[in-house]
Amino acid sequence: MIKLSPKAKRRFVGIVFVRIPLLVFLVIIIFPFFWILSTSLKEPQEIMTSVLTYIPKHATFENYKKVWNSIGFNQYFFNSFCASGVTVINVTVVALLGGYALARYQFAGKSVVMLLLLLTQMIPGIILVIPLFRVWLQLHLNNTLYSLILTYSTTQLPFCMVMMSGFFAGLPKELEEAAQIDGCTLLGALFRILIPTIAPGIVATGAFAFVNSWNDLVYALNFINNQKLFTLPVGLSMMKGEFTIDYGALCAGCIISLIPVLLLFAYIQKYLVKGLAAGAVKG
Amino acid sequence: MRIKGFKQIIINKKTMPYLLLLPAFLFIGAFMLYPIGNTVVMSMQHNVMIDPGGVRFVGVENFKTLLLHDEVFHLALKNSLVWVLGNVFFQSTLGMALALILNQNMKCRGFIRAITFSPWAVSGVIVSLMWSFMYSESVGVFNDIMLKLGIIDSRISWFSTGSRAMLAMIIATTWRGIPFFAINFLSSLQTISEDMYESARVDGAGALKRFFYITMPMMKDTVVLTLLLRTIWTLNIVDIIYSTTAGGPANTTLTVPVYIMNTFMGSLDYGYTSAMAVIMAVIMIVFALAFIKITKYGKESLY
Repeated sequence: MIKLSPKAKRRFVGIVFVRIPLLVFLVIIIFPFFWILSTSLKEPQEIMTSVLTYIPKHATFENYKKVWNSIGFNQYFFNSFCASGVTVINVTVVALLGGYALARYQFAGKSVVMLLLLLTQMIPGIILVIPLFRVWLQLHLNNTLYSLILTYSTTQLPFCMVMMSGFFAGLPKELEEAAQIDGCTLLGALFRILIPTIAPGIVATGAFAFVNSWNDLVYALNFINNQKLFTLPVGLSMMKGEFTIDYGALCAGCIISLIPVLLLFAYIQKYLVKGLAAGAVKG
Repeated sequence: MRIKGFKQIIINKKTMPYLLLLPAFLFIGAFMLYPIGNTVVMSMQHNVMIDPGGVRFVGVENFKTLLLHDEVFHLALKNSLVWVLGNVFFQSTLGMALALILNQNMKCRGFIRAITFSPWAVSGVIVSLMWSFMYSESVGVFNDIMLKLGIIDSRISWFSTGSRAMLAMIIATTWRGIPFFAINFLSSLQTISEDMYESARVDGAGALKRFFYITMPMMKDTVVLTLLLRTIWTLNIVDIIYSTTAGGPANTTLTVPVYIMNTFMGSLDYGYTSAMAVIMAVIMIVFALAFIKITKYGKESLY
């Protein structure tokens, strides 16, 4: 056996146990994205041939035009954007107030509140679908985007609130005390001093709520049956329901739905590492 | 003057946290707690939306039917167990491996981390669509790759048998779920100080020993909580299964939540589906409590 110098041995171990496995992980993670992107740029006959091509021969945007204009993804995109956007505003404002209370006050019942927030993380969406469907019927909100906005706002709230309280807890208490001595009201101090300081964290929390609302299928499928109000996931799942599947258009639809969330996620992932650690684990 | 006094009774240092939490609890109370309470009530009713006979109290009738006579429900329970165990096992071991790799020093670490975490942002529908397309018998890329590598002789159909369909969906869901474990494990790994490893190395501990005697004990609470949350979330997954197989072929991939969804959309039977939801919730609560108790979550375990 060849004797390796300690340095060479270290390098060898690094390649076998770090570099190669990382490469395998990256290939497995990237390949599905690559495959639907490649398919979305192919012409229909190229997709259905028995000899698969990995890079499109004649790249074309026909599939995107088709899915956006004829299949109605422009409308679905708008609906998804409205539902998720309004949800983000709701969740951010409400979670800011609640998160501040959790981070800064000791009050009777606080441990019960924290336990309740943790328990809400375990409620399956499907359990809420049945009774909420009835609530929307009673409030005449069934088949409207409001039903989705209210549902998403509620389901996203607990986690975002815990995440926000983690950000507030990281700030020194003297910050708002000084502001209040200078004559600020509590809300004034909150909005003028604290919020600008943790703004990136707030944006990340909002983005988190956006991604989750944008991706929901179960609520949207149950609460909406008017095609004009379909969100992107519902629109995508309906395309598969048809007799023949237009894979090119389907992949183009997937890419359109993926772009906003992948961009947001690239931004929030480093806050997620902190936020989960601060909120969920230590909460 | 009187108005100001009134204002001070409502808004003061004692009431402030409650006032700040009030909006949150209006949402949670109205659209989460009230509906859940409603589910429990409905589970004891004969309550079908389109039944002109109306609503009547039937006690534990729904539960009795489900537990004693509904064979599809029993099959769904069994499938759910396979689904959860398979997913959580693969995701946690691969997630741990990825976290350990990402914790090493390397170039472009932030960029690589962003890429490896990206599947977590992909919705269940898209996971289902992209993977069913890749699994497809005639135009699927997996068959093509496996044919070229000589693993199979002819194209195989992934969704013709239940066990193969289940495996296919577990692979797809694992792809999406690895980042969740990796994110959590990585954030916990970063809190372990390098000094501990250094002194262990001086004492002559190898990489495996360092992992089992330093890394694992330090990460225990994170591992326990992540496993617990992920187990529950995996059980709750509807979208991937619903849009890939909808429980087929012949209910072999039907899990409890998908059965609830199918039954609800098919019959609008509030009572029966609520009873299923209650059974599922009870199973999860019992599991969560037992898991926390057995793993001694939150108890200092270092020395």
